[in-house]
Amino acid sequence: MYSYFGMPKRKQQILRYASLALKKSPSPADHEEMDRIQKELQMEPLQILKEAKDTTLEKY
Amino acid sequence: MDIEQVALKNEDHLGKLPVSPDYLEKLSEGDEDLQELLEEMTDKCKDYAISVMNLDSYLASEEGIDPEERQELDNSRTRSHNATIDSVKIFIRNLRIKSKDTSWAQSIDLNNRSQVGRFALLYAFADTLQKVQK
Repeated sequence: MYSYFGMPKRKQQILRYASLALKKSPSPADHEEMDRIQKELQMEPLQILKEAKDTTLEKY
Repeated sequence: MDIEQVALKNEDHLGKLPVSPDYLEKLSEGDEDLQELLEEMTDKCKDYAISVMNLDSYLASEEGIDPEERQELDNSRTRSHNATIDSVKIFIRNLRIKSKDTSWAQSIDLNNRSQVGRFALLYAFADTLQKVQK
């Protein structure tokens, strides 16, 4: 499914996961959300973060 | 592991990053001021990356864009960018003062906001990826 500006929902989830993972002190709720996203994406944390990095740096 | 090996470790994470987080940790070892400044720079780089991702996610939201909220996220990103640039400059300046290696910083134009921003994003992800792998 695509949303505004053509970004797939999956990419939004990847960016959300990474923004929580980069927090200095993620809260228990943050960890729960990360676990949920990881399960939905069926990807390893390393894969998600690498994809988030590529997505974020596309414009830079 | 010597310092050159540390510098080369995890190259696959680094992309075009001119230095690894491990290398900067090694450079700062035994110096509390440098360690504190490195931690500050790392935190600012991550805050900046988060602000960039938050704005990108918001712009891609299916719920529509509120101009005021967009402006606030944009302002937050700009404030974070400014703080990151300051922290990178301060860390590098202190490395120079303490006669530590700053050759890696030659590839970054510290007066170019875009270049420092790119460095910050690469550094934030490299540090996080390195920690996830350990």
